[in-house]
Amino acid sequence: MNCDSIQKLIALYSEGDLGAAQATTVETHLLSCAACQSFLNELEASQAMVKALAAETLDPASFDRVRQRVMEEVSRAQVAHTPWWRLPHSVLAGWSPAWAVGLALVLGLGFLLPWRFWREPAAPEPREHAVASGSPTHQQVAASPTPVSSAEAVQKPELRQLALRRKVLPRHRLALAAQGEPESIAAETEQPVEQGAVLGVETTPPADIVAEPLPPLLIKLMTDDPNIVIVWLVDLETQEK
Amino acid sequence: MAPTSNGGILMVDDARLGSGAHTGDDPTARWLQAAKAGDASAFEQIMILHQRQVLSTSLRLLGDVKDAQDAAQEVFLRLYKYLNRFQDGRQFPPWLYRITVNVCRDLQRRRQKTTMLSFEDLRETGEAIEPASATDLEAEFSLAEKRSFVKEALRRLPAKERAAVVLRDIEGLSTREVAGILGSSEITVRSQVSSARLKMKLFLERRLKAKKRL
Ligand SMILES: [Zn+2]
Repeated sequence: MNCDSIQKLIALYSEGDLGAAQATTVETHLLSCAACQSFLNELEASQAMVKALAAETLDPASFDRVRQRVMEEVSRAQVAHTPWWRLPHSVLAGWSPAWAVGLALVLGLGFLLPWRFWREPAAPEPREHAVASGSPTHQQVAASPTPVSSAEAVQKPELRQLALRRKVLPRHRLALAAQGEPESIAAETEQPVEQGAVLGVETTPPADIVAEPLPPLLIKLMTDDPNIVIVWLVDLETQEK
Repeated sequence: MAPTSNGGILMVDDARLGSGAHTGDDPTARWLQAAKAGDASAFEQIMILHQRQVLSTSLRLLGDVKDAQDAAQEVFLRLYKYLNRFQDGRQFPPWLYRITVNVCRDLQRRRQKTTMLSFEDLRETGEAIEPASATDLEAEFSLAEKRSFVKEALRRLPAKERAAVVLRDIEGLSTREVAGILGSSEITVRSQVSSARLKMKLFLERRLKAKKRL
């Protein structure tokens, strides 16, 4: 075996990576070759330098930075996969302003908006709004098999019982809602609803002219996470006949 | 178990990945169980236990601290994502090494690192080819200088040789373990390691000698 081939083996021999037979071949050659003997010494020196790299310590800040970034992602992923009622208090506490604002809007708009429109029966805008948002037209309402008679209730809005139904959609539905697929929500609620803008509020036409069912009030609260949209549906159906 | 490739994680049989010096008294095993059940703080404990392994291997493979941090982040996120694929009773560090090597390889491909220098560059500079023993020269250099030479030598290696020699010589794994992690044979690993050691020896000797002349 020539020195070139032996030196390839020496690269393994120096770290104990050869089997017994090949190690013996190398050792036999080394006994009679001074060049390969010094090659072995040099290799041991360079290997010592290479292996010394293992003792190099890394900046602790690097570890912290990586861990912090990973844990941020992990908690984001956990929030996205956890129903809201199982979220840890810390997460909910972090959202408390959003929750407070959302709840205030639901309650405030749920009571104030219908009251305002009933007090100003001539206001035309809400009607257009409702048509634009996919609510049934008057003709459709007239043909509807189950028209809701709300004339009495309309005259006494303060007596109406607002059935407040807070609907929290399953995660996949929320994701779909965020991607702009109103059918998914429609399927879930069986009500004609439309995507709103951030905190978009859709309301009903004035109900004093024709008795017609009131589409639900849809309030969507966008969070920092694009995958999480909190949807409230305020059901305005009357309780009386 | 049949090999399944997903997200850069390959399952290989225990015989190749499993033979390590780690015993059953591994604290990672307990944290893994809790982390699989959704305990985020347990997952953080796993990171604390293995961050040195992941970050330093990434640094040796990529040669840049920022890249290594990005890689380590990606490694742990993949780990989190595929945590349930890790079977209890197997050795965890080799599995993590495997993810690390794959992530670094992907990162390098994505960034199209063209800074890889070849060992041929040095020959073209017309330096004396006369060999100089590292033993004679290295005493004159500081530890930091010698480390930077080694890092430069690593950067000049082909990616596969670099991965093999980093795991074998710097991380101190056995040839068998390295073969399991890299998904290749022990013969291939031995050949890669031998080639890498010879190239690094040549590079370091020339580097030490060239710097000494200045
Ligand atoms: Zn010889």
